Amino acid sequence: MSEHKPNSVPSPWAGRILVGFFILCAIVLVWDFLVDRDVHHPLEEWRILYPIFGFVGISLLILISKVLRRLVMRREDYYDAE
Amino acid sequence: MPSSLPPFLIFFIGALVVPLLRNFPRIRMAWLVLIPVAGALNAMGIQEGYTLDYQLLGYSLTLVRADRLSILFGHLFHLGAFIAIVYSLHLKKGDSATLQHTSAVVYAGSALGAVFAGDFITLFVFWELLAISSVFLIWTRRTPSAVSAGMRYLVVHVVSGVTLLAGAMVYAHETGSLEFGPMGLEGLAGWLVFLAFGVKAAFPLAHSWLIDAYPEGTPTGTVFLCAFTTKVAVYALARGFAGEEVLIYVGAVMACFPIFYAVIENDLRRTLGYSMINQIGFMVCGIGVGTTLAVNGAVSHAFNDVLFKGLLFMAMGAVMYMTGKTKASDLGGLYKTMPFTAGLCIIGALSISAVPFFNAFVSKSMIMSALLEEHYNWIWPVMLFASAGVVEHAGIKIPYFAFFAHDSGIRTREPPRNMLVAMGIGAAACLAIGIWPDILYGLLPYDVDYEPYTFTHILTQIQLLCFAIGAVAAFHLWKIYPAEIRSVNLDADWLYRRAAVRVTRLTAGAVSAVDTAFRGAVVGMVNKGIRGAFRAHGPRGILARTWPAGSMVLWVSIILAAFLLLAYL
Repeated sequence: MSEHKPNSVPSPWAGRILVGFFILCAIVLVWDFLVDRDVHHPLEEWRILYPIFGFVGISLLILISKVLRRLVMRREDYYDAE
Repeated sequence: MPSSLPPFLIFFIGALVVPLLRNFPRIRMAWLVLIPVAGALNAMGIQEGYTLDYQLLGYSLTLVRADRLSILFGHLFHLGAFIAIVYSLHLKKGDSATLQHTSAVVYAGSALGAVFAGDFITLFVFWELLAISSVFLIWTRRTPSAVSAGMRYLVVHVVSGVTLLAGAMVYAHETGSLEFGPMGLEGLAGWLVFLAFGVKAAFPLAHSWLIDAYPEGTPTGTVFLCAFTTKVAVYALARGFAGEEVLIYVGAVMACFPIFYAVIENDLRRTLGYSMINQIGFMVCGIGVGTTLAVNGAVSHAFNDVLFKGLLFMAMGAVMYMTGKTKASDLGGLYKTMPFTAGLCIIGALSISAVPFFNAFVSKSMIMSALLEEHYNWIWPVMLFASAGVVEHAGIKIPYFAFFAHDSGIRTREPPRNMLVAMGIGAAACLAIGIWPDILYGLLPYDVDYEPYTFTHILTQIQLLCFAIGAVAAFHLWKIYPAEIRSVNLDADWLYRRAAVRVTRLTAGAVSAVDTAFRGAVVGMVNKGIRGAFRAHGPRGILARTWPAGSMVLWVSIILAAFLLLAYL
């Protein structure tokens, strides 16, 4: 299994896009404190529920997937061997 | 005299003509495009409430039953067939063009036949035709792995059909009717039919056929595959089992477990396969809730899924067609030579991620709102997590690893124009429905009293998406995002591709050993008997000896004396 490490910053534009994106994140985060949202679920009463859900959810997803990979990953020709 | 033909008939007649045009490629192209167009015009003439009945073996069967649900899927399948046919127009003889086109048109017609079928027997016929016609879209790739995957796909779907037929027979025995309508999970018939639908809908543990077969299809074949089979199953579940609570939990599992696999999958078309199960999970969940809002959400999401998932499969198909590669570890940097494909893929990624003004935003939110309205307070966060997960694998991973990431060094060009046009139509449809949702809402089975574009909904969705993307970006920057590795990940198909093979071998070995031992014992006993008989009757055997007459007289005298003695006792 040859491993390839992707380069996450392919061009100078990527850095600028990331900075712009993180500024957008900050704006939508602050916005949550400035407005009254409709609430349909008890959890929605928490401010910044959705940002937390997005960030923590994806972080857990990635970390659990790394553990899952240890359990289920096999050689590329695993099924061809038999 | 009916005003319209049965929708499937136009496709079947069209498919009959396709092989005759094999030496006239331009006429064949025009004919292929004409089929879904003529079909759509015909379908527009089908009014709600229209039925076409026929008699078979004393049963009254319904070839066409038109109501708002079947008409919605009818429109969807005509649109899906049109886009997929345009996408596949460039196929040449070397691509098995005639076989691919013919089977694809029969496949689309079978899907139409299934959603307009009003009884179980008609449904069963089209259910099996779906499997038989679509498998050629896998086999025509002509690789050993495609041939084996196609065979496994066919077996699974034929079993699903047989299960459906068994359920239909039990149902007919119990009720005296073969009408396919709301049936619920009461009795054996309900469970058999539910299981048959579940296999086609890729329920957990019955999902492996999709992950196994779809990535093995031809670049154009997989676009057809992603449009019809699972959507027919979603339709069937909505028709037969709306409101069955178990579907909510099944849907939640379907929405969640594939996203973990999608993170670590290297083959981008297989990643889309996991994504497809994840999206079907939302639909199944909505059908399980069963309210008018939820069912509207489920079927509108099925409609949108054909568009955005089709667009993503088309983009990956274009990459595969031009580079011969679909693995993230082999791709990257293609935006330099395929900018239009990259842009269209990004539109598909934004759509599936439910970004405001893209189509999934206006359908998935109906399901989420229905969950809240019905107070499924534990399922809602689960589905919200699954919703965020979509962003990771379909929203970012697919376009990023194919078109950006590292420069793989591959220098190619844009795919054939017809592929770009098909992707353009798909992208335009994603945007049109996202911007003007009433286009879709007007077709739904129940009247829609829902407004997707509220301030709260837009803000919260942007928050969810931004921070989900932020997490992926952070994990990349921290270099702990799972690297793309050439590998295969074990899934439920391991049960029949490896475990069943091993169990069969072990069982066969044990049976063979017992058989050998038994045969050995029997043969030993027979040999022993033969040897004993030989000892007695052989040339030197006691019974083969020549006895003198005197000895014989002596023995006769002894026996007579014994009789005499016994007579006097």
